[in-house]
Amino acid sequence: MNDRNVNKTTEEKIHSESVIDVQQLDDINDQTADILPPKTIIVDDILSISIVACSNLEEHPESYRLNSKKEELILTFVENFRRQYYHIYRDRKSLFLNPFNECGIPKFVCTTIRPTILPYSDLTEWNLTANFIADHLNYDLLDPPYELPKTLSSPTKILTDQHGNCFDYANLLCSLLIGAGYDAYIVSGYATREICYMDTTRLPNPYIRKQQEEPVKQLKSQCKKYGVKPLKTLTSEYDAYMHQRHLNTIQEEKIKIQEEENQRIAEIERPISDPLYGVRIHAWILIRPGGRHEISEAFYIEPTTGYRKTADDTDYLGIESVWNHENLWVNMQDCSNGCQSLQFDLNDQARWECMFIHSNEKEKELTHKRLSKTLSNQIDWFEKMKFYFNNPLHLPVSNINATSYYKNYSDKIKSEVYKKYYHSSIPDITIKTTIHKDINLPLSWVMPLDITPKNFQKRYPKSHKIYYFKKTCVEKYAPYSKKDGIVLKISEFDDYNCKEFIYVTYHYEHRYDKLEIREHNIKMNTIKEKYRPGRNDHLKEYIYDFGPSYDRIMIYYHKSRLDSLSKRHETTHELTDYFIDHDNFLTYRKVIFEIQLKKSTQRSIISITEKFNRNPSLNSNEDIQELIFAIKDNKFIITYYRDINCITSSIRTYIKPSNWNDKAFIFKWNDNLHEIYQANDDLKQMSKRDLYYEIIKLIKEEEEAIKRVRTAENEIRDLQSRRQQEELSSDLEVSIYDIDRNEKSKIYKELLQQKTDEDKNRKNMNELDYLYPYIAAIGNPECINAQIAEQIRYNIELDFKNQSIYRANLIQSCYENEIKELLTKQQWYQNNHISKNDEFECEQAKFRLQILQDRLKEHEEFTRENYRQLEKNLNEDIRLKEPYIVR
Amino acid sequence: MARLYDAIEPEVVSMDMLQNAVESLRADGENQVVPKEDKLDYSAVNSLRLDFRSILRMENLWLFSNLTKLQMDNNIIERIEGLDTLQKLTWLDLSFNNITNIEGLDTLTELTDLSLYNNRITNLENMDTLKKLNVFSIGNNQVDDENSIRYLRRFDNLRTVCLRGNPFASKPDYYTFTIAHLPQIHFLDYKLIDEAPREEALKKYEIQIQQLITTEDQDREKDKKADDKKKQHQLHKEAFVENMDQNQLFTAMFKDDSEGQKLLLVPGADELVAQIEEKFVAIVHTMFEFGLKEKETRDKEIDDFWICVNEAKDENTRRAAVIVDEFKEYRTQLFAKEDLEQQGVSPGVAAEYDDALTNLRNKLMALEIALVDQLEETIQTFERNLGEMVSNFTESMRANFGLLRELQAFFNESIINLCVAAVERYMKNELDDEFPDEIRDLFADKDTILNACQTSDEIHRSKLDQREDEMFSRISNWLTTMVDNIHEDEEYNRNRKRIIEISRLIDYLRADIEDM
Repeated sequence: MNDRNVNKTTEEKIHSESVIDVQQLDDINDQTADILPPKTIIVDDILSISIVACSNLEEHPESYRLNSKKEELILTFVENFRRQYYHIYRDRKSLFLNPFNECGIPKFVCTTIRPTILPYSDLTEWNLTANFIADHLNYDLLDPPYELPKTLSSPTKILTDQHGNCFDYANLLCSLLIGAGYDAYIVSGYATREICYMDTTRLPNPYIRKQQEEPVKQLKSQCKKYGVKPLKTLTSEYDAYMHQRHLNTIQEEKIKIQEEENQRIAEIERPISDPLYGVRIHAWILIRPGGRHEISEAFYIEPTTGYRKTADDTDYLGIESVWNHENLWVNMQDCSNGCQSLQFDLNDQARWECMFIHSNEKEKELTHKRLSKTLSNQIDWFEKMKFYFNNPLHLPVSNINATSYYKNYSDKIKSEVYKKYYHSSIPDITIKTTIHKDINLPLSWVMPLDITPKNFQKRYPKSHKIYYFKKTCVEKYAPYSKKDGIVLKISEFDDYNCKEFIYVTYHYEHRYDKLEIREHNIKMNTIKEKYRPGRNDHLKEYIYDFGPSYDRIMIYYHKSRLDSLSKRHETTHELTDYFIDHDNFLTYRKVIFEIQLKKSTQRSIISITEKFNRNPSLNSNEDIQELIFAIKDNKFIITYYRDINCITSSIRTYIKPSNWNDKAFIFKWNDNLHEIYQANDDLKQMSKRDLYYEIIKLIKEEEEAIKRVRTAENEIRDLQSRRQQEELSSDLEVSIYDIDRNEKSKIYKELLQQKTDEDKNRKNMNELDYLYPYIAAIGNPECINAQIAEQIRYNIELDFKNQSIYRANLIQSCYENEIKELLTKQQWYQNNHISKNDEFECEQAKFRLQILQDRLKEHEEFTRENYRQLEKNLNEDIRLKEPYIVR
Repeated sequence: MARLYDAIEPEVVSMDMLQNAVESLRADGENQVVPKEDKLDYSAVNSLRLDFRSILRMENLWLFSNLTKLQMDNNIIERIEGLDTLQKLTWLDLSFNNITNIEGLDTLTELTDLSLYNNRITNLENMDTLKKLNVFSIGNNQVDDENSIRYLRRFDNLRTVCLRGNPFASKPDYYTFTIAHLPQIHFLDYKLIDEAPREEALKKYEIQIQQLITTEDQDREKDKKADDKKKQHQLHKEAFVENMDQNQLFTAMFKDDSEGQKLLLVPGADELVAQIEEKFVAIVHTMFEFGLKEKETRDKEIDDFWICVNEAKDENTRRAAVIVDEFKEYRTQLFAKEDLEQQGVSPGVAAEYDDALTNLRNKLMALEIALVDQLEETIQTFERNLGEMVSNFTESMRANFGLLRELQAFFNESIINLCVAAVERYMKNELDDEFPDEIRDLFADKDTILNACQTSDEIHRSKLDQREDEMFSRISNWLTTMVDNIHEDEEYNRNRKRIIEISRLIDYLRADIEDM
C-alpha cells in the first residue's frame, strides 16, 4: 500500500515538473511548443536550480571570496584564450572556463578540482567511489538544458548540501578519483535526454534475481575395446524422424513468436524522439590509462549513476572540452557521429587544443609534480590509516577494511611512497624558478574535502534514496536508519508504469533475528526468507505462503544442527524431513497424515517412511534402504538395498498383531507375522528368536519415530510464533566494535577511564614510606629521640643488607646445584656413550648457568646502587633529624 | 585357585552341553513367546558361556564359526586348543584354569580381550598375530621374567594389562619397569597410570629402552626388506620370469654339475666362463624385461575386459531393475482401486495382473538372453586376444631359449677344445705343477675328458629345457584356468542365478492374487 502512495506522489511531481518545463521552453523558443516532456519517471528529488545568491559571504573562507593575484593572472590568460578561441572558431559554442563560484567570484574550472583521498577503503576504487557519489548526492537538472550553468560551486559545498548538477557531480567525483591515483578528467559535452535527466527507467534492473542453473551432466568416457554390442532397438526410424520434424516445426514457431514479442517490447521501450537531441549539455568523467596500472583503456564514468560507459557509448553525443586540475583541452575532432571515433591522446595538438602549452621538459616535470602530489596524498592517507591502525577504537565501522589494507601494504608501499616523495620534492624547487617562463596553475582555492564517518555511513541524502529502472523500483536505505533494519528494497513490476507488483525483495542488516533477505512473490503470494547463520534454531531459509492449504519449506544449516536436519517440507497432510550426514545414514523421513475435516491439535498418522543412505560397512542385502511404518495397516515394510548383481531388492514385511498395545496380552511369535521376498540366497537367515526381537525393536522404533514427528510439529509451531514475535520486536544488533552505537561499551569505556584516573591519583598520593614499619614497631610515637633514630637507621640498613645477602645466596645455591647436575649428567653420558642428547643438554645447562651468573652480577650492582640511595634518603629524611618529629 | 585335578570328574564338551549353553542365553520367559528352533544353528551363535563345568579339553567348538565371545573360565583346561576355526572371536576368557603354555591362538587375529588370569603360565609367547589385542589379563600366573614384559611391546593397541600376582610383580622395580617398557598401556593392574611416574620411569630406563628401540627398528627394517623381496618374487612369478633377473639360471646350470665344475679348472676356462656368463646373463635379462612387460600388457588387457564386462552387466541389471520398479508401481496402482479387505481381487483385475506378470517375465528373460549373447561374444574375443598374447610370449621366449642353447653349444665346444689342449699338454707333461690333483685323473686320456664334457653339456641342456618347459606349462595353465573360471562364473553361474531370481520374483508377485 505504501508503495502505491509513493508512486502516486512521484507521478504528481512529474506532472507538475513537466508543466514548468513546457513553460520555460515556450519562453525560449516558439518552435519547441510541440515538444512534450519525456514520459518518464524522474527521481523526485530533482529540482530546477536557482541562480546562487550567496547570503552569508563571511562564512566562507577567504579563498572563496577573493581571487589571489596568481588566480587573477590565470583568469586574464583564460579570458585571452577564450577570445582567441571565439575569434578563430566562430561557429563553435562557448567553453566552460571560468564560472562563478558560490560566492559570485569567477574561478577557473581547473582550480576548482581539489584532488583528495579520504580514509575510507571504499573510496580508493573508481567504481565504488562513483557509486558513492551517485548515492550521496541528489541530482539537479541544468536549466535550461542547452546552456552551460553560470555557476560552479566548490566540491565542499556540494558535499555539505548533498545536491548538485552534472558539473558538480563530475567535479566532486574527479577530485576523489585523481586523489585515488586515477588519470581522471572532467568532460563537458552533450548527451542524450535520458542521460541528462538521469533517467534509468529504460535500463534493465541491475539487481536481477539469480536463476538457478541446472548442472551440466558429464558424459563419461570409457574404453570400448571389449564393449558389448548394444541391444537391438525395435523401433521405426521413420517414426522417430517424423516426430523430430514435428518437434522442429513447433520449436520454430515458438522462436518466431518470441522474436515478434521481443520486437514489440523493443518498440514500446524505445524513447520518444527528442527535439533537443544533440544540444543537451552534460558533464561526465573520463578515465585514461596511465594513472593506475589496472586501467588499460580509456572509458567514461557517468557520475550521476556511477556506471562505467565505454569510450564509444552512443549516449554521449559530443565533447567540447576536457580538463583536470592541471590543464584544459578543447576537442578539435569532429563529433557529428557522437563520441565513437574520438582519440584521447591529449598531447596530439591537431586533435586537442590545450590551454597551457608546456615544453616537453616542463611536461615531464609536471607529471613528476603530479606524481609527487598524489604521493603526498597517499602519505597523508597512510598517516591517517596509521592513526586508525594504532587506535582502532576511533575507526569508523565502515572502514575496518581500510586498516587491514593499510596493514598489508603499509610496509611495502610506504617506503616506496616516501622514497618517491622525498626524491621528487627536489625538482619542485626548480619548477618555481622557471615559473616566469611558463604559466603555472595556482593551487586549488577549494578547502580540503572531508566526509565524517557518520555521513559516510548515512551515504544517501536523508539516509535514503530511490532509483527507478525498467519495471523496477529500487529503494536504498542507510544501515540503522530504519527500525526494521532494511537497507535495500527492490520492487519489480509487470508494467512500465510501475503499478502491478510482481516481486519484492527486501534486504536487511543488523537484525537480531538474522533475517537477511525477504523475497515476496506477489503473484504467487509466497514469501521466501533467508537468514544468516547464528540463529538458535539454525534456520537458513524459510519459504511459506498464505492460505488454508499451506505449503512451508524450512531449510536449515544442517552442520550446526544436532539432528543434521537440512530441509523440512510441510503441507496439510504431509511432513517430510531431509537429512544430510546423519549418524544413522538417515536421509529422509516422510509422514503422511490423515486428512481431517475437523481441526484438532494432533493429526493422526497414516504412515512414516524413512530412507537411509548406503552404509558401506554392511552387505547390500543387510542394509536397509527404506523402512515404512504403516501405522494404520499395522505393518512394517523393510526394503533392503539392491545387490549390484540383482535386479530386485529384498523385502521383509512384519505384521504387527492387532492387539499389541494391550498390556495384558502376551505377544507370542508365530510364523504368520513375517513375510519375506529374497532376491538371492545371500540374505541372512534369521532365527525365530531374532525375528521376534526384531519386531519388538521395530515397535519401539515406531514409537520413537512418532515422538520425533510430534516434536517436529511442535518445532514448526514454535517457529511460527517466534517469527511473529521477532517481527514485532524491531531492535537492531550493534556490533561490539561499533563504539558510536554500542551504549554498553560506551559506558564501560567511561568506567574504565574513571578507574584508571583514580588509580593514577591514588598512586600519586602515597609514595613509599620505608620508615613506616619501623616506627609502627615501636608503637607509632609522636616523636623519638636521637638514640631511637639511630637504632631505626641501623635496623633499616641491617634489614636491607640481610635481604640482599639472602637473595645473593639463593642465586649462588641455584648456580651450584646447576653445576653439580651438569657434572653428574656429563659423567653419566660419558659412561653410557650417548652423544646426541648430551650436546643439547650441555648447551641448555650452559645457558642456564650464564643466566644465573648474569643475574648475580646484576643483583650486586643493584644492591650497591640501592644501598647508596637508601643511605642518601635516610640522611635526608627530616624525621631522623634534630626535632625527631615522626608524625 | 584352580581346582584340584583329582577331586572332580572331568566333563566332555558334548552336544547337550552346548545346546544347554546356547539356550541359557535366552531371556527369562522367552521360551513362552518364541517357539524353539528345531535344530541348533551353530553359525548364528555369537557368544557362548561354558564356565564352572569342569571341562578338561577344549573340543567340539569348531562349528561356531561366527562366535565373537567365548567364556570358558573356571574349568580344568590344561591346553589351549581347538580354536582355529573361531576366527571372529574378539573376547576370550580362559581364567581360572590349569593352562601352562600360551599356544593355539595364532588364527584369532580379531581378538581384543584375552584373559588368562589364574593359570600356570611362565612365559608370554606365541601371540604375535594378535595385533588388535587391547586388554590382556595374565595376573596370578608364574611369570617371572623381564623378557615377557618386553614381549608385550609389540602390541600397539594394548591399553590394559594385569600382571598382579606373578612372581615378577613382587619385585621392587616391577611397576617402574613395566610402565617404562610398555608406553602404549594406559592401565596397569586396572589402575590408571599417571604422567609423572611414567616420566620418571622413562628417565630411569632411558638407555635400555633406547637400545630396545634400535634393535626393534632394525628388526622391522629387516622384516620389511624380506617382505618387499617376497612381493617382488611373487610379481616375477606371475610374469613367469622368476629367478631370471640376475645370474641365477647360469649358476643353477653348474650347481648340480660336479664334472663340469672340475672342467672349469682347466687353464683358460675362467676367462671363457666369464665371457659366456656375460652373454648368457644379458640374454636372460632381456627375457626377464620382456616377461615383465608382457605381464603389464596382459594385466591391462584383463582390466579392460573386466571394466567392460562389469559395465555391460551393470547396465543390464539397471534396466531390469527399472522394469521391475515400473511393474511394482503399476501393481500398487492396480490394487489401489480394489477394496482388498472386503471382497478381494475381482476376476477382471486378476486376469489383467496375470497377463502383466507374464509380460514382465518375458521382458526380463529377453534382457537376460541378450546379456548372455553379449557376454559370450565378448568373452570369446577376450579369450582369442589373450591366447594370442600368450603364444606371442611363448614364441619370443622360445627364440631366446634357442639363443641360450647356442651359447651353451659354443661354450661346450670351447671347453672341449681347451680340455683337449690340456690333455695333449698333460701327455707331454708340460702342465704346471699347480694343476689340481683331484682332476688330474680326468685328464688321463681323451675319452674320459670328452665323456665328462658330454655329461656336463647334457646337464646344462636339461636345465635349460626344464626351465623352458616349466615356464610354458605354467603360462598355458594360467590361461586355461582363468578362461575356464570366466566361463564358469560369468556365463553359467551368473545366468543360473539371474534365472532363479526372475522365477522367484514372478512367484512372489503371483502369490498376491493367489492368496486372495
